[in-house]
Amino acid sequence: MTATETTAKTLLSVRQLKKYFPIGGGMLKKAKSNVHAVDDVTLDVYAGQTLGLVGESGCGKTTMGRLALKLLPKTSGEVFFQGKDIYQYSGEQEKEFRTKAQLIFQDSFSSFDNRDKIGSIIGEPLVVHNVCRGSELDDRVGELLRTVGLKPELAAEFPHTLAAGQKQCVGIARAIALKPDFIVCDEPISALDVSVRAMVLNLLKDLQSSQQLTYMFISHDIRVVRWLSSHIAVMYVGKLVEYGETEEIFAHRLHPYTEALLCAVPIENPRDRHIKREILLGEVPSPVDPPPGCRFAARCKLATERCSKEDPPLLERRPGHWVSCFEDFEGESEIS
Amino acid sequence: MRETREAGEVRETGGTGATGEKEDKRQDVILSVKDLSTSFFLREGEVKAVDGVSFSIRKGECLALVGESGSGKTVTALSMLRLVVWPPGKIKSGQVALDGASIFDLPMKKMKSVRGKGMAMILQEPMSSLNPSQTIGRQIQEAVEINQGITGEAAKRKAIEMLGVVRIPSPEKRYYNYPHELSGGMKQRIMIAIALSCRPQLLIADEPTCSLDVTIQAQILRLMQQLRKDIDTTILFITSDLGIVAEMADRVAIMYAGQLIEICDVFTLFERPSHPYSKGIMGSIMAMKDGGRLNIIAGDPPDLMALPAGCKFHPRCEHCQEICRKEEPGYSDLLGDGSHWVRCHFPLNKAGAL
Repeated sequence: MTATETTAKTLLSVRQLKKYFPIGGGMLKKAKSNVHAVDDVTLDVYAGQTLGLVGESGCGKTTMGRLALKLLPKTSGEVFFQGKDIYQYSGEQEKEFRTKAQLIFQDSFSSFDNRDKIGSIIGEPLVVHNVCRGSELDDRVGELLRTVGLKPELAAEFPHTLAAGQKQCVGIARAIALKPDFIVCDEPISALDVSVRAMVLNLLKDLQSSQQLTYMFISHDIRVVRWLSSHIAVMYVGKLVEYGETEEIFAHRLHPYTEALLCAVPIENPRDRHIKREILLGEVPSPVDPPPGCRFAARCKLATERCSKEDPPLLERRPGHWVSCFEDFEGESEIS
Repeated sequence: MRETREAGEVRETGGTGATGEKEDKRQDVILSVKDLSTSFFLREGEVKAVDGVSFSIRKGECLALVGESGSGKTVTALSMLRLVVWPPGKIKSGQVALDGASIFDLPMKKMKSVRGKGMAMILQEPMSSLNPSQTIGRQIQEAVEINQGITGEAAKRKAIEMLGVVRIPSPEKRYYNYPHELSGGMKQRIMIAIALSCRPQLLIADEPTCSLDVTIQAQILRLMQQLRKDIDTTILFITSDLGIVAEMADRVAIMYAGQLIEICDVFTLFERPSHPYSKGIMGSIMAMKDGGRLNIIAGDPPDLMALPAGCKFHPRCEHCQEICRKEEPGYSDLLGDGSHWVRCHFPLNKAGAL
């Protein structure tokens, strides 16, 4: 998918990326089977924009995020960051990459050392990469706290004194400390209450425009993804099923799973109760050595014999809109 | 020991004077909660988890109890079942009447007949509420035997029938499955089957879909809607998701810091919420669609150990006045017909202004 986007620069490109986790194997034994966590995914993340990665649990979205940051060894495929394959980096290049790409966790509290003060949690990346120290470090930490909407005095506190939303803000402050280009946000708001969610989401959007950040935003909530993302990638059991610009995808749902995902989201107003929505039956199949054919075939109403034999390729059915489905489907429900 | 642990409640008459739906004189009220207060007494001090909560549920109705974590939704439900454990929890005051009969006046031993037959509860995590060493069929059958007075083969047939009711495919086979053989969504269906086997007058669902995926959540919600139609269940639905409220509820009660701050029908809440907090949480989901900035409620969620004087919401309220800092607001009946109660000195009007 190279020809379609000309305006925005590609920051990260993923090509035929695969990650299999072996199970049942040992040191001298071959693995009995493999979990196909990410299976042949190809997508682009554009500079200064957000790619929303959406799907249900076990669809491989978190693994995808970690692979994009080289936090896991890949099975095959390539990930290019600013034109270079991150899996081919030299030690020096990798060190530089670590300053440019960061991760925000779902539960930031458990990703902190709770015996560290907030100041040293945020300052740690600056110390590790020899950016600054001493009073300069304290100033920078105070500035970062202000950037995420917290009081600089919090630097002297411990993380347990913070409310959940504030902890997530500290996690964000730490992630932006090294002025990165690219941040993977792994379900950053799903552990938060409604009223705090909005605050964190606004903060992420503000930081994106003030610091020219590029996000890969991982979430199970397609509504949140829509709000934040310029592009959406829908995953199902390790496969990319639909990919394209957000509004294009919402206007033309070309994969039955995307349509089902939208129909499953609770309505926003009780007056919409009359809208007829197809509820997807069945459950997500196991990603352990999945049978050939489309992974969605077992739950799909349109499935034909071909779907359970052949893997549908990801094709560009509309300009910039990629779908992996044999059928000529377009979602028609009134939900938008 | 057990007796003292269970009897964790001291009732004071009179209460705090805060009355929600003062006297619900409608005939078909199945449950009424009046002035319920439950506290946890910790070394650091008293935590008022539920503070003067009053509401009622009519037969066949689905009332959503909404609030963020720590707002007292679950403790309200547990207090209704007298499942608050002393120490540290204690029901300080209040009245709960199920079908006109006061529950708090019953001896603890009689509570067995209330839990299950009177009120059955579906818990948040089906994984931890099912017995891992017993087949799911056996666990449903147990509920059938205790509550419907049938035993043996007849009870087993009933249990299999219940598996069918909650739309589990091939129920005869599934009867012999253990919980670990089922997925999260299936386990939640089993929990619903167990709860319904009790033939409860009131079904309490405590965030039954919060650990499930969206498509499975949609299945469970659809199932509960169908069951409501088929067997006319009365439901108290505890949730923090306003989308689920929009799908399920007839009326909504909103909790904040242990208090019930607004209660009205679901359309009123979505169209003209009166409490600034209600408006705040509604606003934070409404703006999602158009991609604009999201409305936020300033400040942090309340610390139950150090609640402010006056209105509990005043530090975060944009309309806060002098009186809000000093005096705790009582309930006001906005329309005069008891359909819309709000606990605020300056309830918002239709246009969303003061």
